[in-house]
Amino acid sequence: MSTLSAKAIGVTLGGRTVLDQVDLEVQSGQVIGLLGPNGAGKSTLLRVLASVLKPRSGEVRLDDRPIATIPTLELARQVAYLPQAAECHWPMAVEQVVALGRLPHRRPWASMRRDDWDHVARAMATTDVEQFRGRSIGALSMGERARVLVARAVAGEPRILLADEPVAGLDPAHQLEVMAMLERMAGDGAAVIVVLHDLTLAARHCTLLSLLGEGRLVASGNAATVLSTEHLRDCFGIRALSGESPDGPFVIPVGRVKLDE
Amino acid sequence: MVTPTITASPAPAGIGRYALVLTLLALVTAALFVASLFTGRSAGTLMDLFLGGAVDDPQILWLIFNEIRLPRALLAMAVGATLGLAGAALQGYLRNPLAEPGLVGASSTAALGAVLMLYTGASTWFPMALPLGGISGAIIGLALVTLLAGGRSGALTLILAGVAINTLAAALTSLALNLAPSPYAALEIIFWLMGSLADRSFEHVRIALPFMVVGWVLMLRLGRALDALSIGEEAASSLGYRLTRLRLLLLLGVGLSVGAAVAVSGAIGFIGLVVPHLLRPLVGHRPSALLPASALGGAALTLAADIGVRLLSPGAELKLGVLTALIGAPFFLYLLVSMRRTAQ
Repeated sequence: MSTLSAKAIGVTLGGRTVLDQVDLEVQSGQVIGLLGPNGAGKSTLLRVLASVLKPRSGEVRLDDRPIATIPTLELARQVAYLPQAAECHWPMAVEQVVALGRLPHRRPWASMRRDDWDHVARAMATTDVEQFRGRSIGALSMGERARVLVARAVAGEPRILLADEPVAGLDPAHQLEVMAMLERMAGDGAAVIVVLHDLTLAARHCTLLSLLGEGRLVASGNAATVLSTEHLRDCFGIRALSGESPDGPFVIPVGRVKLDE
Repeated sequence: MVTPTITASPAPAGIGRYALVLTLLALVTAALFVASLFTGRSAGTLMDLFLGGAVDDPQILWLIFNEIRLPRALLAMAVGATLGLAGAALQGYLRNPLAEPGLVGASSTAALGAVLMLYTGASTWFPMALPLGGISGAIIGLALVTLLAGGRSGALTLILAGVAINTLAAALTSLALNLAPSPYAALEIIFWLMGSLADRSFEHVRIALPFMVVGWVLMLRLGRALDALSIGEEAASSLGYRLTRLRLLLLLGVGLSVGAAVAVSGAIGFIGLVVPHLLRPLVGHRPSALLPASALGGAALTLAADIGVRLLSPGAELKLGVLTALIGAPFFLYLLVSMRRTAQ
């Protein structure tokens, strides 16, 4: 069992308060969907959880150890972070990009072992990028590249996965596939936090949802609580059509709501 | 859905090719090293000496071989390897194929240190003042750049600090030229700045090589971190690489080795820019794989250019730095044009 928890996180960037007293917790087996409009602080919260950004106040703990006290390499083996709009700067072969996810597991100077390549192959299979193995990542489409970078993040078999909009730019089939993969990872004992903009995907594939608005935690809980008419109106400024389909719930934004207070 | 099972572990593509590229580069470097030993005046008789033929004065020939040719070839190899490696490391760190070893200010400050030795005349009293002055200059320059950019800010600060130090060093070098005691002294400075490996001794090798080796080790160790950086600074940091430490090590590695190289050879341009550029596609664009390849490629190209200057102008020798720039600049233009064509 692993638990990643953030307590009373506060972040100020360039004089602006981006996060204020935000709590979040994820446990093994859960997929937490992090929702909120642009600028709500979702990505910043994820960066704090990934220990890429130090918060001004508050603390992140991994299994009751403050992450600031965990050696960077040990943390890197357990927590994988997939930044938003991730890109690869050099046109490397796809499997070499995915292999970057094995870096924290390799001994200094040692080359990739058979076991490392097995993990790479498994990650490429789960994200459906095996057929691009030897191809240059520069020759792929945006959506295909995004899947390769998801594969990179899962190749380390992390106990905690923090993914910032991993389905942005993917076609519907691959969106569903990535979400199914996240659920599967959670089923295998990982703890997943995923930033999403698609409310239906969030409602259907996440164990619990957390809604951020203007740097504060507005709501957290199951989809019905978090995606209530009031929250959608106050936080996103939208009306939505929601209901149950045979495959699960759906939430479709149908119109804007002008907030005149 | 079931987790896919992988039956056969796939062989990593391109590993065999990478070994082949390194082997070929090493062979070419070795061949050029030997060729460099036998290039120049009295080449024929040197050959005879080794083939056991009759020669007039074997002792003098041995002296030429040991005291002139060998240090020259060794320095060409070490300086070239430094420039290639430093270019590859900086391009990887900045994720920019236009970065070159002079960027962090070490070469211009090394040149300034050496020029000051020429200017004050210290080098006429004590010949080794020149490389020692160069290395001291590089270390001071490096300390300044680290102070300016050492904090925890991004790559841009490093570039700006390098530009500032480069400009300052260039201005002070011009000042030394401006105030040169005689036209002859000014000429000596200008000639030194052009870059050459002629008339270097083992003393030069002994002074510069330790710094270069330390720099090489520092840079080669960064390979994996540079790989991680190719997917962005935050992803690299989440893979366990501390970016401030990475930059400090890079700065030290590039500064020490390039400073020492410039201190013994003067400025030799374009090797550090062109070599990584040329070899990158051959090693599958991986920054870590590019490091050893560029070191070998830089050594080979510098050896070749240094053979070239001796063959082209046996009399008043063409300066090595002039030749590399003459060939490097049009070649680089060609690279840029072909890059633009493939991008379209």
